[in-house]
Amino acid sequence: MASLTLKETLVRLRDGRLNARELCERCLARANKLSSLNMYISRTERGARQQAERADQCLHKSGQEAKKALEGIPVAFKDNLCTRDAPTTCASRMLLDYRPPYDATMVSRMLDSGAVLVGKTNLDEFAMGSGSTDSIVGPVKNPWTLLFQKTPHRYRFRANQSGCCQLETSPKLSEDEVKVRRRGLHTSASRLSQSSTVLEPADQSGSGLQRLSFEDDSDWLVTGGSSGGSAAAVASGTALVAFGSDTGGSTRNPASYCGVVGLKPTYGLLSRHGLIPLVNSMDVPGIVTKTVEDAAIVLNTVAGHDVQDSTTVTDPYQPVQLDDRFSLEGVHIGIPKVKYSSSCCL
Amino acid sequence: MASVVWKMLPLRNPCKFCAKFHRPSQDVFARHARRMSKKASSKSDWQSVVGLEIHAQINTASKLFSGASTKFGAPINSQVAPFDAALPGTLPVLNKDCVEAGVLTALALGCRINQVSKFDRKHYFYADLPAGYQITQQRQPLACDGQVNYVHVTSGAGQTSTAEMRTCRLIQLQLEQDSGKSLHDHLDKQSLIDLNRAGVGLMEVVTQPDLRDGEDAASFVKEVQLLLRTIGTCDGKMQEGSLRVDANISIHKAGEPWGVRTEVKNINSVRNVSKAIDFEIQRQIGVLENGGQIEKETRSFDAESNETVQMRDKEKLLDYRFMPEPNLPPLHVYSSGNVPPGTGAGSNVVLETVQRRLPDLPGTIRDKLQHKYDVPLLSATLLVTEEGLLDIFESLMADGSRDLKTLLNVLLNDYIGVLHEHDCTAAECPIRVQSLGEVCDLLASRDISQSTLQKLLPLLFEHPEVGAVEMVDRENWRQIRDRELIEKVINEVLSNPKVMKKLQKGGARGLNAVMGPVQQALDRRADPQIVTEIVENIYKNLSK
Repeated sequence: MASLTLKETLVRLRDGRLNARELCERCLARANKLSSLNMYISRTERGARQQAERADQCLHKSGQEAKKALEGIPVAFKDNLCTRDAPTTCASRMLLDYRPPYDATMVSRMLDSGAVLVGKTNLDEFAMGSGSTDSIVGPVKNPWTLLFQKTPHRYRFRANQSGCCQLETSPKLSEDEVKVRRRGLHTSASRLSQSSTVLEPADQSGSGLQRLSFEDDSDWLVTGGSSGGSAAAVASGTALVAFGSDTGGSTRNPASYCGVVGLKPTYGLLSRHGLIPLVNSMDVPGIVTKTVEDAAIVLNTVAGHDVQDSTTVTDPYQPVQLDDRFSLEGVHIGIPKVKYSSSCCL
Repeated sequence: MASVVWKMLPLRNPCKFCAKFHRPSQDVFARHARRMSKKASSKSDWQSVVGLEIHAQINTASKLFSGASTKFGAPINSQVAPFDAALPGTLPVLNKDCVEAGVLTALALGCRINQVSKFDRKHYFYADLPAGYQITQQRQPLACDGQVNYVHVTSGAGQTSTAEMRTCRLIQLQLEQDSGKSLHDHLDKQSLIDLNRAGVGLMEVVTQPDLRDGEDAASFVKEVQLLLRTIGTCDGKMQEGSLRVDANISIHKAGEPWGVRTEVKNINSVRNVSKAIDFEIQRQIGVLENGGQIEKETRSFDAESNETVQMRDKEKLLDYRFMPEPNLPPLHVYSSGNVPPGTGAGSNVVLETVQRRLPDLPGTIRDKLQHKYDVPLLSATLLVTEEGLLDIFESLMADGSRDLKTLLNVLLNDYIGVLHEHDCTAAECPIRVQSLGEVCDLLASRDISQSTLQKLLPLLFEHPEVGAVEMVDRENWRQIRDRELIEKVINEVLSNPKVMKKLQKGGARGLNAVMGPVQQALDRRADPQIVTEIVENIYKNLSK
């Protein structure tokens, strides 16, 4: 289930092969298990369950009325987008207890389309960063870390505290370590202490799954940033779409590091109402999904003029239509010639 | 010595030149005033220059950039939208009514509307400014230039006033946000912040330094208040804070370059505009004549001591770090020829649409009164200023038979007096217009005297259902104008040798000697004009 795309999930939800409540539970459980990756600052378990319940009711209605575009789809929002149901901290002590009295337009449009809010994802503090390493709840760890650690490399790249890449020769791994690492991304490993905040501690997933953990604190890879939590959330299957923000690459960067699709819409297409700003004239909400088609579906749901954001374009929004028979024939791709300094690794 | 009418200066107003309480006659005082003012002006040939920054709260239902209400007197912090409290993630949304109000005001002030204007952030830190910056229009304001023709009323010696037209040019008109209100509790050493006012739209009108002194500035402010109230964009109540005036004052000697200017804030009434500016001018004269220098500073007007004082913490020149407001696109005021087609048409501000809302401005009405009815400027000013009076005037002049002077006398002296005594407007006053008309006619035909008028109007206020004529007859106030009767009584009075002796001496004393007993005999209702005529005739015949 975790490897389904949003489009595929929508199909299965509509025809009954999947139900929203089950999907929601799986995502919440997974988020719980992978809490050591530090993807979420807060998870809205109770709210998500209620929304999933409602989504199921709407999906099972046999009437002719139009179904909502994203009924039952789990979504995560970067913690600089305001949500009424969850604290919005921007990964900073300044807003640690801040509960906005309103929803960001992106949030309300998604919820109105039937999406299920699973949680608020981790980021660089106030979106200032490109590694998702400078957060008061700790850095976000790339879900692919474990996959790469499966094969002991002679040369390995480790992240140090500030998220910089450093060349390092790897020590010989013990047999246990190899065993552990062979298991791959989606299985459990030995315990660790770090975990993210859960809003309703009573609702533990409690199905016997162990929490994922790391051998030592520095044994992980960065997600990139500043929307690292959102990219990791989609890459690890805890949400089918996540919203980040993009000012100078903050959605595209982590999407690339986490192996998922990151879309930075043109400024003025999506509303910034409720997006706590970094640079008002450059910020946009970003969309992270597994495939480009998923991104198009979500973009078509949330794009368009918002009265509450005077910088959104007033022309009526023309929904994106992707060509089925996509081909690169005739497409010109430009690659800038960049000079690299000798000390940098590649 | 010519016949002098003795008039007393009321005790509470000392002579403005020598600060003494005089009780001389009108003429004596007039001479004294002329002498003293000559002395004052020759002592120092200082010229004062005054410019004003007027902040007028825009009278719209909601604030400039948010939907919170602007109603006056609401409970503390009950009209605060998330944007007004600068909650993270909120954005400004421009209020179209505010823009139209700004454009309407600019048109009334004769300004040139900028088709494109821009918003900026002006940064400074204060507890009543949650965002840490005020959104204003520094680079490109809504409107430029313009001028106001206002009536300057000089209160002359005694009761006389003269009116003349003056002009003050404007620099610009811009839209900006108001800040919240801070109440400093010195006892508990805390400041309490009320954000109800934060974000309310303001129109800032900046004048050229064309004004001369306190009275000049006060007249100008009164005219602006009247204009704003007439077009309905601001209620102009300085006591409620919907109109605030900051004054920039400097002095220089004739022919020399202008001096350093100081700014005076915290002026909360039109009278205080005059007092604050005059005090500041005198203070600056004092400083310079004692060899000191004027600092470019901001001072606060203390209404209790009538002085300007240094504001405690505002000495350095602040760097406001102006930057364009990134969350608001440029503001367009379209003319009906170049409105862009497509969606958003309902939210476009079109100049001609706003222009159609312009009512008759006070200046136009004053001109009409002067030309159509021959009303003098001062009277025209009063008619236009007092709410509702103009309508009464026009309806009473409608049939064209009323005597203008009498009507003006009744309306502007006695009727206004009654309104002020009962603290009501012309609209609220129960006296019927018809009754007022009757009163004018009675006065014009000398059926009642001036003193009767002063008794009649209050009585009509109490009993508006009774007509004026009816009331006069009821109270038996009609003047006796029967010449034969009066002559008879006069002759009776003159049969008294003592009275006759006094009359033969002549002069005012002689007249009074006869007038007294005659009025007594006739129940004080004899027409004094007729009595005087007859007595003077008799006197003339006597001296032949």
